[in-house]
Amino acid sequence: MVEVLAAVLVLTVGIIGLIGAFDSARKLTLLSERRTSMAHRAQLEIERLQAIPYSELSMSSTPTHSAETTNPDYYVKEGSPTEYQYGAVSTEAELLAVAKSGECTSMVKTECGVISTSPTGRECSQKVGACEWKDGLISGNVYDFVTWHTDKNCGAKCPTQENYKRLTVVVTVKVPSGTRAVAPVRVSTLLAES
Amino acid sequence: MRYPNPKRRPTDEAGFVLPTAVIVLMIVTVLVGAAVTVAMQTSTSTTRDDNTKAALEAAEGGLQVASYRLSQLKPEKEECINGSEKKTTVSECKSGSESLGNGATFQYWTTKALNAGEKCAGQTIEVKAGIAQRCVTSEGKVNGVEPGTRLQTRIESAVGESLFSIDGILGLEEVLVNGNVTATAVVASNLKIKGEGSATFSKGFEICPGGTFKPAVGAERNASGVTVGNVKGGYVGDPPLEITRSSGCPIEAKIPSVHPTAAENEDSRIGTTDEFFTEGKSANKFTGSPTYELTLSSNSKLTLGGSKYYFCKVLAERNGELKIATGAKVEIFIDSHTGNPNCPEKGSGTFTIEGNSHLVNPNGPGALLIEMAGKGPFSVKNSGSLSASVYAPEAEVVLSGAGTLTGAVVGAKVHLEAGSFIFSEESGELKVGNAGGTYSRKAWEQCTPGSGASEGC
Repeated sequence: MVEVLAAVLVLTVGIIGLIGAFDSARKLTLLSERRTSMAHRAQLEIERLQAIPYSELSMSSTPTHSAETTNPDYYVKEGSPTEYQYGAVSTEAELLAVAKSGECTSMVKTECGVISTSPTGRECSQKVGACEWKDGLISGNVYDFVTWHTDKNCGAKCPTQENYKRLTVVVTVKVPSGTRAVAPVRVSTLLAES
Repeated sequence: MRYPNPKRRPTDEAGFVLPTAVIVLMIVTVLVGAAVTVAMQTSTSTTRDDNTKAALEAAEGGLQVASYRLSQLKPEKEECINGSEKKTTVSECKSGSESLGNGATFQYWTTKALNAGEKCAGQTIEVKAGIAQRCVTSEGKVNGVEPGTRLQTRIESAVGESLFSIDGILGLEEVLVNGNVTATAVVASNLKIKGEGSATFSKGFEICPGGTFKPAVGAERNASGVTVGNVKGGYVGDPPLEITRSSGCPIEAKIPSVHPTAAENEDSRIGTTDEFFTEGKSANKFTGSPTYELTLSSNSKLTLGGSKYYFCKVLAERNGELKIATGAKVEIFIDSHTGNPNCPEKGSGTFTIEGNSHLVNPNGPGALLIEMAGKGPFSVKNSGSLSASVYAPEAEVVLSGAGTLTGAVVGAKVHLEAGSFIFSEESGELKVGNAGGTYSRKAWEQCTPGSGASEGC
């Protein structure tokens, strides 16, 4: 009898621990799946932006700062002109490239931009710029930021500012309430006019 | 002999339960361990995948930066660049590691202009006339993780710098195209472009903000009248009356600091080294100092084989012929008080070709640059012909009376009133130097892992 009780105790303690470990593995796998989808979406978005004519690659309006630290717009530094912090530290910020004439349309084709600031109600399969994405059971938002990059390593023969543009894509994912948030995936590249 | 008692209880099962439980626990532990290992490997793989994607974009950023800097620094064919300078030593043809933020860095390698048979981005190079091809390799890394992601691209640029700011006809104040004249090049002005009669702008026009384009009344919608072609998509049924330049205004009259020629005043060659057939007539002459007047009249012929000539006045008439020696690159200055300060009155110099006279230039308009300092006029008229690049930013340039002008023109006022204007930029004759201009991408490849970026892809 004592032996049976001991066996039950061992099995119970052991299995509880194993269930915990198994649950952690499941969460880790789920996190990996989400991050893979996010990275894939980020690369897709960067390549989509690279196909847009350079002159139209600007924000159609100035994004506004968000107080939520999880919102990519948190890194919009309001001021005149408005900057965007593309890097981890506050000094890694650049002027946003905002189109003078607003969003490009069939009527407005010069000094306009195609990068909208809010993803709400914009499906990525339909719209360019900030949008809502979905990949199977995983969904989230894409935020695009276009900033002016000043090339400080180019030397005296290059213009002193706004040499080319930086594209920064931030992809977020929606998680069920009560679940730990997933850090956004942020990918950045430079694009020069050719 | 002893036998086991069949009534005895099987006491050898005692202690079976606990070992069984431990064994079961061990098996489940192994399975869960495997699951955890797989999850961790997946996580590691995901992180690596994230970094690879970020590194790919960093490498792509490096390619873009290298192309931009090549376009800005304009290295000659035998030069490459590092970060900010032109270099001639191959080992120096690379940038340092540059940060892209978020732990991403890139470094690039450039080449000198590629030769036939060399390889880049998986392709074997074929030489193209007037085109400089270069290979750029870029390596992106994230958080210093090795190996980085490497990309390679082949980029191309037209060789040489355009002689003038507009590859065609630039009238700083005004361009008038009148009568049965076809402007076979872009026509540009800061203030006014006017078309009259059957004028044709076959390559379109550019006007700065505030300027006006005025075709003949009603002609803008009449293809038999003023025709506007190749303007941002070509001729349309109702062409816009004004095409405004989006940048680069006001258009400046400038020429590269390095010209085809570099020698000093060689007026002294005329009549000595340079053959001058005057036909024995006093009207055919070069006065030399102090008036520096050249007159070619009555079938006279002068062949210029030097580099720089300074005149106050040039007149070719009555079948006179001014010839540029084969292979020569000549620069003629009219009324330049830097080169000939004794011109009678500053700004009074003229250049006239008329009366079936010809400026014969077998080397193309890029090989003959005529610079006029004063107000001119600069005239080609009455069946005269000229093949040259004309730079007269303060002068009135007039083509009239069945004259023929081949080349490019910069003037204050350009009046094409009759005759033919032939633009030759397409042949690349109006380029100077062999530096590349703006580079554009022609091929792209992601390098296979294992090879060094400096060795190729």
